[in-house]
Amino acid sequence: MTDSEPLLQVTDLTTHFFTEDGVVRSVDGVSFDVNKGEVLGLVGESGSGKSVTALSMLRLIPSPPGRIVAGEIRFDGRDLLALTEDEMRELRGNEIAMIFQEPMTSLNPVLTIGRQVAEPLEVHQNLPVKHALARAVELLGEVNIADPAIRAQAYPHEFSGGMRQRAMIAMGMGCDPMLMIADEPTTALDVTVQTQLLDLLQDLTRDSDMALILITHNLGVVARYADRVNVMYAGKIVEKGPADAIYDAPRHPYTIGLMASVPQLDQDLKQRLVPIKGQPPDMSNLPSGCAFHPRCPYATDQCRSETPVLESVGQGHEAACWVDVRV
Amino acid sequence: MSEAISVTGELPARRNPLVRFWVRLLREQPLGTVAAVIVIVFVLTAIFADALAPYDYSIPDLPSRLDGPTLAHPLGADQLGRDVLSRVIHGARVSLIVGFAAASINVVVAVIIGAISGYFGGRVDMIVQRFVDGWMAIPGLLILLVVMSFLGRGMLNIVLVLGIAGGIGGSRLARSAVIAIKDSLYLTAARTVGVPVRRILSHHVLPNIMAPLIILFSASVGGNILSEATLSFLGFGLPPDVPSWGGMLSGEGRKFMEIAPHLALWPGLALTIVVWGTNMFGDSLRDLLDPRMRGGGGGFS
Amino acid sequence: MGGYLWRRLAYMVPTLLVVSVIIFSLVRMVPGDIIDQMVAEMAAQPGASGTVDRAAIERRLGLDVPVYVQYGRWIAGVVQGDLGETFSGYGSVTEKIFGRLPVTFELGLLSILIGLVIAIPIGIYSAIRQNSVGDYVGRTTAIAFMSVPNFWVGTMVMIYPAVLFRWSPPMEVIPFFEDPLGNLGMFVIPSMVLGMSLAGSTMRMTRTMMLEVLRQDFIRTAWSKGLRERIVILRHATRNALIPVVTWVGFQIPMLVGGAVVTETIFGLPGTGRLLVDALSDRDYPVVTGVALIVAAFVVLVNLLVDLTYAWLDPRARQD
Repeated sequence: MTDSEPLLQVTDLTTHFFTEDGVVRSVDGVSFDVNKGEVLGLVGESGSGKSVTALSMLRLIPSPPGRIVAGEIRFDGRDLLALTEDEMRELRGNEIAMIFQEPMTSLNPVLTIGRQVAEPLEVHQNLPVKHALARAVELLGEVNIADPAIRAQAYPHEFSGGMRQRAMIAMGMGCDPMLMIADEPTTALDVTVQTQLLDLLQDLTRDSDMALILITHNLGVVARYADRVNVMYAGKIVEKGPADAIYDAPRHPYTIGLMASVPQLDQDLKQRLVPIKGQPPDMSNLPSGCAFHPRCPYATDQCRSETPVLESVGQGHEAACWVDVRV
Repeated sequence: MSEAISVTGELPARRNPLVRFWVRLLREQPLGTVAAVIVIVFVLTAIFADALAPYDYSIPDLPSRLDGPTLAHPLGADQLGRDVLSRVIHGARVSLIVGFAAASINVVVAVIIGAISGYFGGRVDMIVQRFVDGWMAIPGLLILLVVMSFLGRGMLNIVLVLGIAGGIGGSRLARSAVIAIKDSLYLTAARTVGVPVRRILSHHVLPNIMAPLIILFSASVGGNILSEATLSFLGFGLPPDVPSWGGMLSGEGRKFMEIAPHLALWPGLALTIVVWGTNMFGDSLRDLLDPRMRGGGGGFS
Repeated sequence: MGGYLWRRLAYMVPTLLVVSVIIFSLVRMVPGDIIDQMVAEMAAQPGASGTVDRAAIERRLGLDVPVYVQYGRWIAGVVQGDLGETFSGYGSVTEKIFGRLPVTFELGLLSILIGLVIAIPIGIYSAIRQNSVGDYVGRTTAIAFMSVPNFWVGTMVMIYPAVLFRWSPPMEVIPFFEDPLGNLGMFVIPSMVLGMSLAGSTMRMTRTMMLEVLRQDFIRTAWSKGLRERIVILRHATRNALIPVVTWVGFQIPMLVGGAVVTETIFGLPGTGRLLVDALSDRDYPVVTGVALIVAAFVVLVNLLVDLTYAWLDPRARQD
């Protein structure tokens, strides 16, 4: 695998959940790339399929009721969907790491922080416990936790939310992963802490050439930290491209709507925030054609009957929309 | 999961809730359905015991003493020649009465204590709860034995004792249910409008704690049946002439059981099946009424 | 942790007081006068001489003073370790009870151990292989264990081997220190009978708690680190799930007392349970009160130990 090839290539990933109330097509034909050392932002509201996409990377979809139905996930030259469970296990926490949204519930309450940070090292690098714990203390220091030697013996409930999330990052970084997936890492935290944490993630990414998939519903976060952005709606990617392009020239009405609904610092005070009208879609009962059409001010008959596909609208910039919308 | 709401704002029609319950039971709880069948058979046997039993259970038939299963006595005869099958069938009636009557008293007592404690709170609550704590520290059978030993054996005694003793234990459940809704808005609204406390308790509190009460009742039936059987076995429950399943296993007949093991087999088996049925049905009821316990476990894709 | 301990001990005292009042009142609720009964029994004995001195009996038994004084005297005695005198033979209640306690204690301990050793692994297996055949078998067995009346199982265990193989469980007490294996052999079967119900309910409790824990986010985190199933289940899930299970088992111990009464009766073990039943039949009220009090105090103590164990096991509970 050469340096010019993407680290991660997802093609037509489809993950469904088979429930009593019907089939939920959480991820429906999603394709994207992530390059080495790059930060990819994955944006969308709850239920858009971004978390399911992330879990699908690591094949952690609870089954039943979920199942990865189709697609290909090429990571470092290998198709992850073709690997055995044992082979996947070697990858998890090792070459691909993941951090989750709720640090309080994502850490085991009865084990010390140090122990939990040390675990991936014991398993993947075969370090004896004492060495793993020592390395864990170093890692805690690298994520800017003060007095790491003492803190390592503490339990999760003795940490603040921000510190727990740092510990989770330390846990993920332990084996020098090539790819880290961060699922809404700062949503549950205070605003001031959010910035610190994201800066930390950014520094770690730059220092180690690690790729980062940053999942969030917060546009501001994506604007500052992402190189490229995928916007998801109802299980599909509706717009993708370089962060600047998405910001300066969004082409999909959903993206445009998202922009208009977020307050900007330089915005005229008298300008009203425009929410996107309508409700998020019922994922087990999607509208025909373009899933966004019931809420779209530009919807045409074609939108209601035919599902749009991603088409190029600029340099590396694609959008899935029948209408040529420019802001 | 949003339901489609039509333009005129109608809600989808609801089927009869009782029918829906049985359908759900059949679909989701196969074991529970079996248990429900057992409970129904049990109740019917108890009600129609006179018609079902081939003999009067108290008439001795000395020539047939201690016979094993024969055509005349399909389950055998006891040490006085009484027909075991008839005694077992009538035992169902005894267990049914004791089980259900005591469970009813359980619920009433639990609600009274729990509601008073939970609704009034403060010192009342503290005192009542201290008493309940002390009561719960004394093992149930101990209390039952002591009280029954000097009240004397008898149906009324045992129903009352089981009912009150079990009710005190169940009061905690009722209390927490009451506390959970005590500060609900609609209660505050009712109080503001001046609805008297008694009416609040009966019209507002009670209907909303029905679910835990139903569960308490169904869970108590099995326990009461078992307690009565144990007490009768030890000689402190029902008098020996009453065909209690527990009593049939007790002292008197035990001398003869080594030569006639069927005396022990059938009453115990009946007890086991009925207690299992009522417990299992109560379980299924709780599963159906409490949506939290679905799912979990399984593998990954 | 120290402050927590003292506070819990302090809480025990009022509970014990309430317990003692309840027990004392219950036993005093005898309808009809026990004295009359005793007088009648004494007069009916052959060789009785003339009228019986009722007042003397009352004085002897301490029943000639008001109820609250009786209670006071009793409590004063209890605190010093004296539970009174038995009505039959005027022996020491304390000695009598403590002579029987070891048997009951051993019976109880063994049943808990056997029950847990069986129940917990099965409960864990049931949870991780939910809805498998093994799970259904496990659950059905658990409920069967809980529904079968222990006196029936005990009776069947006594009868059928005798009928079929001409074998009976041994009936004499072999002290533990003389012959450990013999002693254990004596207790094994009664303990299994006594522990059945506990095993069944613990199996279900373990399964429920494991399922609850397996749904938690930190289990997903453990998987995402690439840990093997054995480690995820044992180190992460089980350690969390067993905390409520252990405390719950502790609170089930009082129920064992009732079962012990039955088991000792069936298997003829000279324990505290049988003592109670015999005393009730003999109307030996000081013994009854004494046993009830000791047992209740023991239960309160066990509750305290369970609370402390919980604080020890769960780091989140160690707030002071």
